[in-house]
Amino acid sequence: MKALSVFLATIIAYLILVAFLGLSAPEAFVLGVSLFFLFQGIFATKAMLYTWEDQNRLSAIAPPKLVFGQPKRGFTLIIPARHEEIVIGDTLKAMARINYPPELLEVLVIVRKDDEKTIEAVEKTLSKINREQFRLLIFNGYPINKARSLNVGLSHASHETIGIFDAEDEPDPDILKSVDLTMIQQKADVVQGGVQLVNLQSNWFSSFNCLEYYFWFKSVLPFFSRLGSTPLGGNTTFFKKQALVDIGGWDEDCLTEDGDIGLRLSVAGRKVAIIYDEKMSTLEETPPDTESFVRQRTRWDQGYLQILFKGNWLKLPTFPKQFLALYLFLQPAVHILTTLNVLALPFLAFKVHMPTALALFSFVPSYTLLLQLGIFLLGLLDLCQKYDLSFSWKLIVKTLLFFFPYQIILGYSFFRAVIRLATGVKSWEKTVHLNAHRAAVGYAK
Amino acid sequence: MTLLTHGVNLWGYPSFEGDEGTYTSQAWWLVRFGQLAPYTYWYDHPPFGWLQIGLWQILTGGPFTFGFSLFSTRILMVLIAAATNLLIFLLTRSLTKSKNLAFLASVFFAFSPLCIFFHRRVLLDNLLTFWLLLSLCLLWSKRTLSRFWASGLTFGMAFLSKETAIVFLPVMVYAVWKRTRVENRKFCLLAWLTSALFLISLFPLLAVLKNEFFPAGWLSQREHVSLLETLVFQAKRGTSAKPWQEGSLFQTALAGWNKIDFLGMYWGLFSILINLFLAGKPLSSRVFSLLSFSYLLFLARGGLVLDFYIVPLLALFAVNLALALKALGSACSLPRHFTQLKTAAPIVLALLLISQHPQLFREKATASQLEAVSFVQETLPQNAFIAVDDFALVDFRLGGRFSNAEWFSKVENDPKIRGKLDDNWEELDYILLSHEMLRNLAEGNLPFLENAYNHSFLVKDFPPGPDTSRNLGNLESTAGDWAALLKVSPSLKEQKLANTSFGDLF
Repeated sequence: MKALSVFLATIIAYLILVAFLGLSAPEAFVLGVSLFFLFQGIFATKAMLYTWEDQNRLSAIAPPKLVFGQPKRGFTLIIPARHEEIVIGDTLKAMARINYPPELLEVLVIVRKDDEKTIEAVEKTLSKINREQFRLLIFNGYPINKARSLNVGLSHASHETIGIFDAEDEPDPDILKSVDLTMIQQKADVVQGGVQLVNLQSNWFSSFNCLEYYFWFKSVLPFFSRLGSTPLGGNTTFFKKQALVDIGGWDEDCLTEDGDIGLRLSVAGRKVAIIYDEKMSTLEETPPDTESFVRQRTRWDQGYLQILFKGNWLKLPTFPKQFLALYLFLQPAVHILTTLNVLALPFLAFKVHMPTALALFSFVPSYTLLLQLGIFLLGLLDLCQKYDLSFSWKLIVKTLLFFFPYQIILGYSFFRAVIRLATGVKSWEKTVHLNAHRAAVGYAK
Repeated sequence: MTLLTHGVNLWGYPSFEGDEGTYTSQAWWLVRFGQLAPYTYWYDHPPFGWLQIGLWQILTGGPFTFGFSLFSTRILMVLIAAATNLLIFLLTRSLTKSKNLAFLASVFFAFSPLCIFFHRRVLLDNLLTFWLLLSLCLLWSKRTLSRFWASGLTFGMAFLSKETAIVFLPVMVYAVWKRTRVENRKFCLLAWLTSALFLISLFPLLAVLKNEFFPAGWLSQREHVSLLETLVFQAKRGTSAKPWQEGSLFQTALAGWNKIDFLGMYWGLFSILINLFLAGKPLSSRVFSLLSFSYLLFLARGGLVLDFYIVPLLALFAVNLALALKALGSACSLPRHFTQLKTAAPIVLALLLISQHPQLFREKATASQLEAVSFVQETLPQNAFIAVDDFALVDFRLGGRFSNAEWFSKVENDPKIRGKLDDNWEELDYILLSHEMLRNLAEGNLPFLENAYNHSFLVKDFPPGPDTSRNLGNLESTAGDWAALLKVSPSLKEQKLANTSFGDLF
């Protein structure tokens, strides 16, 4: 159990340090917490800015240049949909606009039998589009979650590559050609494309949510994939069908089936390639209000905890990979701790008497948080430039003002997730989609 | 190479200066006793400079490993100078793509008498220069994000060694901006600024944590030192004469520098001008000449210019020289004998520079001072109250266990020390007079001590070398290579110094 021994070694090293410095209990606590946040801050910053390190990394994630000639790979795109009557029509039309040989492109929309409105919307659109391989699949039974729908699609897929999209997604027309080339050039079994939230102005938390996605898909995911332990996104993900079949498809008990499948594919040694290009990202929207945001985040956090307790991550081959997976799944917890500490530590430094050096050091978490804020602001600028969104002073002020409240609701979501996990509640709290992202980038309806 | 030129006669010349002892003692007090200084720390400089010195002292097993306390720390200074010279070489080589020019710059740095003179003294500016050069070196290496982080951190360290580094900040930011590629410019700039400002902010943060940021009376009634007060004080120091006027400190300092190394000053300043106006396109020329220029502005601001302020500029001189030569070389057509010139040039340069001031290697300027210290340690009673210059504080307090030996500046200004004397100059037993003390007396900065001085007589004199002239009666002295032990005797009706039989000294 290499992970355990490293963990123990760290604890012992820390205790030796405390003894050597002759610190009292509260001082040792301050030191420990500050050290923890120093490393966490460094690691998080490294992950967030990984791609911007130098020119090589920036070009490494760019999708391959499109070549002439016809692709030979077949794609089945699976789109699970539940109560998505507002958006599913536009999404299917977007699928029809994809530049790919029609005989090699199959689209399966998976809807449960009781969801009459969505079925109606889908059938209406499909008759207008009139493509032979665009089909509606109706299923029944329990559980009611995304993983189940995906497995249904998997069992009916006819082509050798599976792609996942959400019901509100707006994929880029050239995405499949890029994925095909990537799979050939990088010999990848799995390709994760970029997903971007773009409705910055919708509400107070939307800019943070969008920024999270930006850094996640552009930098953090390549960083993790370089180290061999890749969590996957929930859409714009492409798999070789055989790879999925070999590991038994999606886990229908898990609320974050994407993170779980990514982990199990990493354990099975499958190669994951990440591509990110602003023009080719799939556009999505943030949840419409705070309540639904919390529900979505709670679901993710709970899912991560489920994956953690399942223990698959321990089967990853090397310690760094295990550590990465662990770090990832515990990320939500870090948010609460950060919030608490930024408030507590400076207070302690001023009120409690401790060696000056230690007091200085206890400000490290505050500094790393300020750094985060700075990175976010710059990311905002970058995001607006790359996606042609309007950048205004109001946006900056909003970001500065609501940075902390955002950390708080992240912490609250995690708390909620823990409660739900403890009490055994596993229902899927559905996020409502309103097409706000399409409005944000000026699509005609 | 640097080790040789700087190392020979390291302990002999130049004479010890008060500030050297200040930093050495503060360093040892910090690492040994956990205090920021032997006296109340008043934020004259960020304490991290003498922290570095203190680490050296720990590494070498205490301040007395090499004998006199300043010997040990001077060795550190030489090592730092050698390291800085290495950085100069690497930096100049990547700037000019020419090993010869880089070597030339190194030769300048090693052989210029001004460099040797000040690099031997234990000064915070030497540490500053090292970190600054490191930061610049990193800036001109691979343009990855990590390098920019490192460059910002090392610049922050330069500031933490001595706060005057702040003068370089604007041009450094400009350099960072220009050195970044468009794709990751934003983040590189953020990285550099964040890491530099993080370290820089530790200094005021320290003051805030100790509740010593605002002057006493603003937030609390307690008497305490204050960072803001010190900043204001430092800014106001010096005469109000403008640099081009006769009596200004800038002129005095300039004269002093020229006396030691006219060629170095001349070439250095001239190459800055060339880089500023003639070099044109290369970013490096702009940056380095501007860096030097900002520092010159700082020197010429009309305030205090202590002679060792030149130190950071010396390193920049070396780099500017190489850059100017490169610009000239590409502007004019090269003569056919150029390759022979290349090998000869460094040697010629070295000889020219060094010949200006051979005393560096021969003269034992510190002899009198060292003699004075051992005399005091051997003959005076251990509880005697002696006002000394700071250069020997560590040796008196710790080596000789003179618990009542105090730095004269603190005797004058520190309420705690005055309290020890019951605020009565008659309680003072001895004065170990030095060049700096005499200078301050002449300027009227020490009214308390002046009383003691006027009622004292000469016990033993440790005379200066042949180049220095000194007149104790008129409070004049041209250099610091002497010491004089005076006994304070309140019963004297008038100052006896001018009337002693040591008249031939005056």
